[in-house]
Amino acid sequence: MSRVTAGRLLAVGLVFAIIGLLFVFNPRMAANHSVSGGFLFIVGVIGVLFVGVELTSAYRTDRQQARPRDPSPLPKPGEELDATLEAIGEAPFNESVEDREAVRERIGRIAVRVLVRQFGCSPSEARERLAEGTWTDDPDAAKFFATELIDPDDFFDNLRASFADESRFERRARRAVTELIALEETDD
Amino acid sequence: MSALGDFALDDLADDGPRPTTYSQYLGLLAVAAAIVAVAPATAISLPVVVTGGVVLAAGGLRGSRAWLTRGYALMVAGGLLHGALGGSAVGTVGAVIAATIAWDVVENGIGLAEQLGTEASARRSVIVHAVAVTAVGGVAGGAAIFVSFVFANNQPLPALVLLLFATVLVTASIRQG
Amino acid sequence: MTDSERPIERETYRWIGMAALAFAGLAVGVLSSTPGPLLVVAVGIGYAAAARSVTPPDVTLDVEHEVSDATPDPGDEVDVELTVRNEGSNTIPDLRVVDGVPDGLPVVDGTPRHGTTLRPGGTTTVEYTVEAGRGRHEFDPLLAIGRDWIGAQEREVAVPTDVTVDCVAPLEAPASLPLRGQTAQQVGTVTTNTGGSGVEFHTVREYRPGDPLKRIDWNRRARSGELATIEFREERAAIVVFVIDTRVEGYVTDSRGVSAVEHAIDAAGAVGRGLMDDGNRVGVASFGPSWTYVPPGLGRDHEVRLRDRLSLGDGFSPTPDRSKFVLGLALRRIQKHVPENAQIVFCSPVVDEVAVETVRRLEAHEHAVTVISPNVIDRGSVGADVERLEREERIRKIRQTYGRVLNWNVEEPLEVAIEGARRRWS
Repeated sequence: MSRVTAGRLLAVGLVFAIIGLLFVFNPRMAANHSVSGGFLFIVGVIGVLFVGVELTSAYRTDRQQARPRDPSPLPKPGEELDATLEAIGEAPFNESVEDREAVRERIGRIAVRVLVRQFGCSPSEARERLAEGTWTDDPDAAKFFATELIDPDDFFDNLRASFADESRFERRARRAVTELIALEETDD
Repeated sequence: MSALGDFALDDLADDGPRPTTYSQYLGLLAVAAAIVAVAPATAISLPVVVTGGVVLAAGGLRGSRAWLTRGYALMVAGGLLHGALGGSAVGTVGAVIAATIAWDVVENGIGLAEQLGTEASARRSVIVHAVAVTAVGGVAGGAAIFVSFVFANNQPLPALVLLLFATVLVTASIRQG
Repeated sequence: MTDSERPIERETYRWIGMAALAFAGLAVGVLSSTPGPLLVVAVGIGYAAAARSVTPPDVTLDVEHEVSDATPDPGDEVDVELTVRNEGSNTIPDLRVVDGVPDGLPVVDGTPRHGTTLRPGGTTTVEYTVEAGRGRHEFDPLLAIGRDWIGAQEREVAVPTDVTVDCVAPLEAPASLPLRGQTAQQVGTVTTNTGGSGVEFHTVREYRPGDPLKRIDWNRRARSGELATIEFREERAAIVVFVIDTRVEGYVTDSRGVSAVEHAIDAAGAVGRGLMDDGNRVGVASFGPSWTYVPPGLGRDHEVRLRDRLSLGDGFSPTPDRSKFVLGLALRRIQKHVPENAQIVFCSPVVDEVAVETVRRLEAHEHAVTVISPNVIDRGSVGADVERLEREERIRKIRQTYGRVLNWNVEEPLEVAIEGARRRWS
């Protein structure tokens, strides 16, 4: 509504309020009218209803304010992937399936190259080793790519997971990458 | 590159930056005033107001608008309860006004901390704002109290209907649509 | 100072709960038949009416900056004094200002943000200190937010300023990196494609064991019995253009917060100086969304020009340029400006395949390419380790197929990395 209309409504409302208050506190002005307890109750209930309406409306309305831009520091290498890993760790399993796949694929690509170079095998052989978990002695690292090896009922695994800071996925990813780097470094 | 037009929508659930110190102090002062207003009290309302005050202050310390608002709601409930159970009308109005001032001053502080960070000072505007908000409450409450003192105590039907309409109208005029 | 951008007005909705308060007072008062709560109705209406009747304040400001040093050296602290004056005819009850400090100038003391109340003609001053880093730093518009007496409405205004801080970093100490086809040992096997005029410009120097027989100055030998070697200028004097990868992906930092692009620029400066000291002509080009190019040259004046462009050129911004980058266009630009016979030193952190592709394309256009790649990756997180593995793979790929790569770990001095490379390449 326009400001003018709103202003008029406001004025009328204020006048009513003043008259109403006067009536409340000066019964002589309203002497002709009788008071009914039932009616009071109805007015009260209407009031309560409106409280509900107003509160709901207020709750639904977002407050707005200007947001100045904060200085953004430059990122460090790998921050994005770390953030993705953390998000995967905190999200429920079904919601993060695609993200997990994407991370596995990315690390898988570099893993294939490392294995091809270190073991002198072909890329498809390398992928086989990754899928079977035969490329490393570390069980966690193996399970990162060889998801079939994961036993959801593994007692110690679950126990460790409940005390650890990182999710199981994060730990396996970390172990896998550490193993890959170890493979690289033994050669250098 | 300016951030013009980039605005924040209040997410009631989050903790936010701690508001500037002045805002905190003034807020606490107002909370204290509210408690004092209902202190010559009916048994139930005082603890409700005090609890509300504590919650509001906690909201202020955590920079959480959610807690701030819950604390305010409790304080208002306590104030209205005070009046409904026979406490003084002045105490009721005073408590609600003081609670409103507390809520507003602390919320302003949170907004300032969000926009200016916690190191910037905004002393003058915090005080000016607090004074203005106190003035509005004082005038509205004072006028109502004045009317109530001048006239006796009774509630005829049409008066209440009028009041109801009045409130609805004023509210409608205030809605942004 | 130009006009302000059009302001934005908004409703804060802070007082939206007052209607509920009024109804609550009414309901409680009626149901309990007491006067107190009914008076609360007036409070609710009072605040709501006040919120409705205020308007966002007029925010017309005059903004002045005083900077203690507009041309600091890297690492210097610069004091900034901001003065804001209310040019309007009404008081601004609640004014918040956020100065547009550029990202490349971190604030080290004080804060560029402030809140106050300003009467017409009133002023407020904000003081803070920033630390200068290499580059041209242009201040963003000042953000001014004005609210009314009770904070119900807000007006947001951007006030442009034209403060610029230019910080020129001196070139690093000269470093001597052997390039392909430039070393004295390869005299006789170098193809000089400058065409013609080779024999006219030469110098004669003392013979060194291993110099090819055909370069010995037999006339001098006949005359005085001395053994001397003729050196043709073209064989020594190379034309080298440093192409520095300034794409946004390269703005990742080392453990001290220095970006890879920054290190690439430092390396280009150091190696460039070394080359110029040896009599080669050196130029630089940026490889990113923005373009800066200095054609090859040498001498004191040219060094100064290089130093200034590397610090202040558009293409070498201290903060990432996020505008669109098109590989094809960038390569064409290089081809258009870089002389055909020039060698290219590609300074890039090699954080993605585009860098590898760039080396391939530059080589394809018959420029000898050497790569200097600063490595800013810290061992630490999973993400960093994965990046490290991927980067090493890329460097391996470049080495196998295209050319030499100086893999420089920025935690150690450039000279150390070059020493290692020199041994490997000879």
